[in-house]
Amino acid sequence: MMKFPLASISLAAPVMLAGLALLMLPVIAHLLQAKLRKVMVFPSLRFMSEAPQGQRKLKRFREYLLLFLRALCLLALIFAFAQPEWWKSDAAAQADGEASTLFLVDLTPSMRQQQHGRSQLDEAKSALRRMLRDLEAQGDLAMILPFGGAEELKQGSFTNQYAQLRRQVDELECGWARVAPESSFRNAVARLRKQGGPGRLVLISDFQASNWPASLGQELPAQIECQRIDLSRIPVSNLSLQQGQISPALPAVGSPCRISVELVNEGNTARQLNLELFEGETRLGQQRLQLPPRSISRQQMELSLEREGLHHFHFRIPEDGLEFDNEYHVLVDAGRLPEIALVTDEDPQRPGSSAYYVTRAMSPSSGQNDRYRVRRYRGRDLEQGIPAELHSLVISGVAQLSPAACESLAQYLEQGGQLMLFCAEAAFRETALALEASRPGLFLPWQPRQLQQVELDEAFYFGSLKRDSTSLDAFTPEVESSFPSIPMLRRWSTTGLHAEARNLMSYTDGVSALSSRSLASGGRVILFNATPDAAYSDLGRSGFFVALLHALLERPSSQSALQELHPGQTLEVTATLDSSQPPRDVRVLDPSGKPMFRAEFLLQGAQLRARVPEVQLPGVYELWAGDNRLAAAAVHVDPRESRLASLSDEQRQALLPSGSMEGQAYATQDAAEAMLEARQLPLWGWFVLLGILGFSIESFWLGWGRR
Amino acid sequence: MSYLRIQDYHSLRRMRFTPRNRIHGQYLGLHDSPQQGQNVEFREYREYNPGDDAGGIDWKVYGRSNRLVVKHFEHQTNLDATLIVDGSSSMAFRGWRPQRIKKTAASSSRSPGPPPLPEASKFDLACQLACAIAFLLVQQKDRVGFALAREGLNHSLPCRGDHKQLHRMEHLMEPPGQQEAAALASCLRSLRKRAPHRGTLIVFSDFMEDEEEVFQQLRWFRARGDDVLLFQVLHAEERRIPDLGGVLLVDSETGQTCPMQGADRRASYEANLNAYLSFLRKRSREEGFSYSLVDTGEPYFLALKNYLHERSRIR
Repeated sequence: MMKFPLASISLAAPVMLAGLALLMLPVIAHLLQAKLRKVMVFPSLRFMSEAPQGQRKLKRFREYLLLFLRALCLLALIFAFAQPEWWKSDAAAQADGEASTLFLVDLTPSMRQQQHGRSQLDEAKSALRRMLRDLEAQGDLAMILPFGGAEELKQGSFTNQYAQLRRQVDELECGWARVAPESSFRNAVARLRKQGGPGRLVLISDFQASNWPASLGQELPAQIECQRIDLSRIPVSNLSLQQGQISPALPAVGSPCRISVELVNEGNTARQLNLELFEGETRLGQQRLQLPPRSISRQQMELSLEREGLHHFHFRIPEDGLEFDNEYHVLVDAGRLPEIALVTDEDPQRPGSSAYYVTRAMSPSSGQNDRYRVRRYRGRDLEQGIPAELHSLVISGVAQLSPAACESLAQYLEQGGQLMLFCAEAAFRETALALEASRPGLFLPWQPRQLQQVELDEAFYFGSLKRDSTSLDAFTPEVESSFPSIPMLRRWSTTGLHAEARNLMSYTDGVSALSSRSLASGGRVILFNATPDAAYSDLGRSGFFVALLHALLERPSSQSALQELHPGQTLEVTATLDSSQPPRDVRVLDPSGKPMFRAEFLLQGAQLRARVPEVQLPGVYELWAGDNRLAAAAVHVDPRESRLASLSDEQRQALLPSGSMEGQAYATQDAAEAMLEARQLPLWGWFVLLGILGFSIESFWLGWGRR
Repeated sequence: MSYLRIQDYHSLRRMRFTPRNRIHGQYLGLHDSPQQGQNVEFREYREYNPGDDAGGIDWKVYGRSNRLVVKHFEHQTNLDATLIVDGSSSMAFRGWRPQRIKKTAASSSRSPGPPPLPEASKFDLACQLACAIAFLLVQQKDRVGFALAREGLNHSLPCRGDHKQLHRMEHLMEPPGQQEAAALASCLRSLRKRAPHRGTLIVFSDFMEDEEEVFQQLRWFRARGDDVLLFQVLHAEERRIPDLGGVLLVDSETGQTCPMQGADRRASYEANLNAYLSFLRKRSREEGFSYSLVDTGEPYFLALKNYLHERSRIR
């Protein structure tokens, strides 16, 4: 910045004055004019006489005038490039004295939005640099307070070292975590108050509607004025991916599964795009989609996992102005087909028996397309012990369990197993007694009192579902309306409902029909006060039965793997170690492949748990032990950062504290211009006009001279 | 380079080049001659003087009137014409901008006769005229000689009456080089020895040298009884200089330079040139030369046609 004290004119780009050397060009051209003249051979030179003296003088005058005009054009253009600015000498500007200006800069991920190769952050930096130039000329103090940026950004303090401030501007970089601006605003106001004297708080942001509150709600002191610099408003047309899911949550090798993701079209126009699914660099599928304006659409693709272990899928859509939401990672840990043990003394091949219905409900295809593999046990087989890797154990149609079998069941539940009991048979009382004798108070949500049996055309019917149960969320009211018509011929009247038990479904007279009880060990008991045997009910013949059975046996613990994790949150990854080898060289790698030294590890038996507080980068974090990748987790930017719609004009007006913002908000395309307009009058336009005027006179003069 | 094309021959076939006066020729031809001859057309009786050919006495008249008279008949002879083309560097001028010449050629293509050569120089126009006149003469059984004035008499051909003379002439018509003067006076002086008989002398030149010396030599030919025809050849853009901006003019023959900026000297130049042209015209009339000014702005065919028409009208 070069400032002429007398003329009150400053040059924003004084380096352009180097162009004054170009003034030599017309002078040189003038001097060389005679030498550079075109030579032409002429046969009648003898008739050429000397030009009159007056004509020669006129010619010489014209040449000097042309030289002057050309030099003037060049001079005007060079000064126009140097961006001269005339400083207003109004009293108000002078009276400000050494004010303190604090720039509160938005560095949330949405500031990465680009248009024509320039991001919102670049716009903010340009505005900051120009405003710092302005402030430097006034000798004010300034401070830059970013929010939402990287952790390592220094916040600094009020200073008049503008070189340092410019370096700070250069180092500004958008972060990945969503940060609410209220606390930063309070912090900024507190710093200005602490500084004392006249102050100015300048908010530089894209004013994203999903991030800024309706009002910052803090009264400012009279000497602090608040200004708002809106960055250039880019038309909202963002496409984003969010909420990836896989169903089932723990798919088995060879069994079909569906992987899905939500596509959000925030723009006001319909968009066509290709949704691609990759595993590593291999493209597994592609869908051509038409997204209506302002819509959210879930798209899914069918998959069959061919190997055990961790699979890393990612969806991808074409890049747009905001890149981080154009890719979505889904991590799937594929295992073997989960096994369900059906304990029954009936013949599963005999139509109408409860074992017959349960087997077909759990494994309808008897092959690879099933979600479960069903293995049949007899009651006495339980005496040999129950494998811990069983997904669930279903007991139906068992005459009586021996104490050894009950002991095995108790151990299974204490290891976190899941047990489902069908109990409308007459022998259930003996079974219940044996279970209670084995571990008093461990098994049953309630105690059977009396077997009730209907006569003639009467039947028991289900009432309504308890909607507070997450297991039964999948049942819509339309589906729910079908099951009260299923007749039940036998049931137990109940007593002694356990405090930890949850009644999921009742009969119309209030007797519990379906209840569950979660144990402290992680085990779970589901007790069905009915049995699918055709002699006891029509439950097995209802389509509702299959869906209900699958919903109940879905382990809630497997849902947690799909919860979205965002930057700034704590990452936790759990892996099961091979007990034969002790873990060595355990580490967590961030998305760029660098080990994270902040990671904490906890080993509980065969379970290794890694914890990284406040992850920064979005992407896939991997837990490694030696050369084995044990587990991985994906971190995505908060989907609210993809909602790029900014506050409306009314909302922007209401945002700043009342009284402090009257007439102080600048909503211009170029934010820096707003600040400059306040104190300075750009003169470059006048210089351009002068250059054009000189050029016009020159052209006219040349034309006139030729005529 | 061939200066006459097929269409030129077709157009020229209907024209005739006739001398303005009776001429003394050596051979039988188509032009009237003051000489006695053996023609069938009776002219007059004349008293016999001793020394006259006795074979010419009309004995029948003697029988009737006892007077010796000689019977004279009309005589027609041929014409010997010598064509002199100025081969100096000044004749190589093609104008300031060749494209302007093209435009002129295109615009004049509607006029009768063959189109002019594109981008013709003054030398080209002079050669075209010389060839055209030579063709007319040869076609009339007249004889044509040729001389190229370049630093004196550069090349010359004695008078001949066959069509091959045209090719010989064109063979000698080499375009001028740089800074070559014509020395037309020297050329004419040399030609006095090589053209011993009276005839017609036709000079094609821009006369951009000392005209007094030239006229002195031409006066000798005129005094001998020759018919002297002067064709002053100029370029259209030489007569009226367009706006050239700032240029440095270099004389094509002497190498002298003169800066010119815009229109500062144009008016004086044109006035000087017009004065010179008037002077030449007046002086030629006084000396008894036939003077004609042609420029490249019009086709040579039209210029020749106009000249022949004017010549026949004067006669």
